[in-house]
Amino acid sequence: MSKIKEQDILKLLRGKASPKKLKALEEWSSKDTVNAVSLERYQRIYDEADHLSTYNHVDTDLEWKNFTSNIKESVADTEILEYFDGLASPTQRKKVEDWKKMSASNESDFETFNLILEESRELSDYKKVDVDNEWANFGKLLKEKETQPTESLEIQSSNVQKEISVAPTFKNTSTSTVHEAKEIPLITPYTEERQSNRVVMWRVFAVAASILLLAVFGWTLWQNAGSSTTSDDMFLTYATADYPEVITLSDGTIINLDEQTILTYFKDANLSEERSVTIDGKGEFNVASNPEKPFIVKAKRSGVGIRVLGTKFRLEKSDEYIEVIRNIEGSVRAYSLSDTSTHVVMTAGDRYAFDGAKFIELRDLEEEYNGKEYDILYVLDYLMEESGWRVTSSPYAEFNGEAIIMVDLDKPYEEILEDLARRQDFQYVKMPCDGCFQVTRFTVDY
Amino acid sequence: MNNSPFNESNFEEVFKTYFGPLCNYVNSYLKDWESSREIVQGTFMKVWENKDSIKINTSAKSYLYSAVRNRMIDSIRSNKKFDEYKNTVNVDEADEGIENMNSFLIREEILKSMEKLKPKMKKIFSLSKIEGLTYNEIAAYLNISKRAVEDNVAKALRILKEDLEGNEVIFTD
Repeated sequence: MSKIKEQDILKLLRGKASPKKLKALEEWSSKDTVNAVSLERYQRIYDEADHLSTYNHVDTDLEWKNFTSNIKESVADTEILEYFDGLASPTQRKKVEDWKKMSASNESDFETFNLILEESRELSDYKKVDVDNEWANFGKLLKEKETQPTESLEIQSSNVQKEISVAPTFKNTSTSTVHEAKEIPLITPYTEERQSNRVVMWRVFAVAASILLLAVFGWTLWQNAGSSTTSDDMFLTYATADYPEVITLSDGTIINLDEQTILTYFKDANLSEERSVTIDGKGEFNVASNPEKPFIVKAKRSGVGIRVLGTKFRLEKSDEYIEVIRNIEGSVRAYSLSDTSTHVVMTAGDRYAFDGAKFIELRDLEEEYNGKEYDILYVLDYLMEESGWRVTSSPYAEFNGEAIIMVDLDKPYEEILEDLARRQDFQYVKMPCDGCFQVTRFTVDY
Repeated sequence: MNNSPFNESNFEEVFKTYFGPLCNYVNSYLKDWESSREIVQGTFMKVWENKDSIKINTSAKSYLYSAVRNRMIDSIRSNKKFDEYKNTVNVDEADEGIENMNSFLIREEILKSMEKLKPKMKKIFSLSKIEGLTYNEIAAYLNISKRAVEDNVAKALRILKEDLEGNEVIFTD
């Protein structure tokens, strides 16, 4: 067999090989599969080269640049927001994630958005400090310290701080501080004589306070029924006897007080940044809407605070828990007064108990709610089979174990879905097609 | 060792930047605002007294965080009313929370930036992201469309982001 050169193969592909070369090429190709494959590749290249005149070369670097800038532009802030809110469809989520991966700048933007949203959720517990006022106080303290040459720094610091802790200029949102805020001359040098004078002063105050306490106690006994007593310029107290009563506050909030309940409330909502009341007992609150002034209820016996802007809720009696809150309309934020990070956001229909340490979701009794317990996956299957809906799950919804929920399957299908969505751990979105829903969030912590 | 990051000319700025976040940081442990405030105030007093002699190779932020944290731990140890928090503050993990401290700085800056938002936008952002109301609830509450609520929150988020990105205090150790 003669030697096969590239020119021979080219002649073959052009159809110009002599019979002798043709035979030699066939023998060469059949002799070894490597040769056969090689010949096949030559043939393929030769065929495709015929079409090169109609093939346009693309500048892929330029196209990549266009592609990335299009993606960046096409991700709207609202889409990023929906992503973080858990409201984005899987397609939207992928779009945002692609945008995020596109560049370090996008990733940084994404992380900053996330950071702002995470920290904003904690802002309800964050106290804004009047730093100008604090700086002025600090300046006074420094001057005070300069007049105390004989004591050590730590002792001076401690004494001065005790003085400043009742500074009238410091803003504190607690009710008691509002009551106690009085103009007290602060900055005078600390001396033994001054300490002695203060002891005498405190004794005078103690006697006066005792007399006042007795007077208030006698007044309360004498009233023994629904009564309004002025506690100071800003707050009033109302106490019910052995029957419930309704009280309307100056802002229009209506409170149905249960029997044996004491309410301390603001005289004029315009005088403070928030509408704060303290309740010792039970009652139902129909809070007048005012987005500028949150309405805060502090339940004295249970140590629970409730913060709202306008809604209707009830503090219920319970033998089992120290506090039970039923939210009727709108949404409220209930929190522990001793640990404000322990909190729950309640929407309409929610019922939560507080056991002194944590909030526990309570489900209504069966006689109150015509429902039965079902596994949530069973309910979703039921909805698909009975309604013809198409319910899918987002890849980001985590289905961990079983979740038993109370549902009335005799209700209209839409209401069943709404009932599911009242759970804090369940969210869905309606998809563009009729009867199509997607579960976007479902996490159960066991 | 570097020079002191504290001096008479920058002390007011340092005080006003960190006082609020530090008070909130301490209060997150003690749940006692007045005591928290006293601890931070006492720390600043100490720093002022020693501002010329403090030699550190770290930032004012890190130094203040450590100083306040140590003072808080001392208070917990010496004050019976904080007995219940003895286990919540891990004394051995001195650097447990510079990130935690950063969270409070960020919260402070978010509040400051929110003041720059238009009143309506600020209200909507606050109702949504701080009060935890849903878009539908806010829409019903303010008598506007859900889309308008979402648009406002998204715009507010963009403005806050751009504001925060220029903040050197947060993004430096």
